[in-house]
Amino acid sequence: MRGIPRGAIILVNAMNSTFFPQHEAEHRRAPRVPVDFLALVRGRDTHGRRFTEPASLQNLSAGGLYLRLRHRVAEGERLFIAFRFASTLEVPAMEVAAKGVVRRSEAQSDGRCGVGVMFQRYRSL
Amino acid sequence: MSRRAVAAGVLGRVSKGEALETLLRAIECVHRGEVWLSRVLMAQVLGQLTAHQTSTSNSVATSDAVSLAKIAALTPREREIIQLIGQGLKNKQMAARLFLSEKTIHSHLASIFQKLEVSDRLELAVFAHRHALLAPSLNSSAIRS
Repeated sequence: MRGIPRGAIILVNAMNSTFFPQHEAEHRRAPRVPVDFLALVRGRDTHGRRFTEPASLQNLSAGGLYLRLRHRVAEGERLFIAFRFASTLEVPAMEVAAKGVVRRSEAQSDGRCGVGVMFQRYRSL
Repeated sequence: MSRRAVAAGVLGRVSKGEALETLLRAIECVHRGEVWLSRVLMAQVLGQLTAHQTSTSNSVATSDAVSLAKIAALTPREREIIQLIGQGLKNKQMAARLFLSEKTIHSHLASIFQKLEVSDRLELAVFAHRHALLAPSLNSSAIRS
């Protein structure tokens, strides 16, 4: 590791690696926007079973989105997602149908699965 | 020791010339979740962190200024069209709503895409949501940065 002098012992607490945030500033081409949009997700879970589940998006960019599901999905899985630019059905809003691939899948403390999806194609409905 | 080293999880440094007791105390200290760094090193790390955060803030501020300049270039009609897109209207519906031809709507859209440097309706809608350009009812969860 650069910058650490020779002749020193470096101490790292393996139980506490979050002394400072690990992530650097975001450099995505398409910035993510926190949202609370309604979505309907269709795909296969980690057991290979088909599912259709309503969900709400947590963030969105022109390149992909992040949402939480009750079903667990594996990275690399393809999902179909329909979502609207609103948190309710009552207001008129742009609706989008998208196909994408799961780039991140992580178990969350409440038992749900946080899923990051990269768009492969999409169209407004 | 650089900020990168600390960011990577380094919580302490003990010179090999130090007494064994010092090393043991340092290990206990780090094990408790504390740090074992000299005051000089701590000052350097904090200084680097502050500089990094200032640089990041400046970068965000510049990005916001660029976005605001893009938005300022929009005409009232173009803002109106962006709101209608947020409501899910197609070109034909927008043309009917605004008493314009579809060709004119298409022309307005091309101008909007160029000014905001977006390539399609989704990218436009995400930009518009981010900067609260959509109708208020659709924008309740927009985050103003």
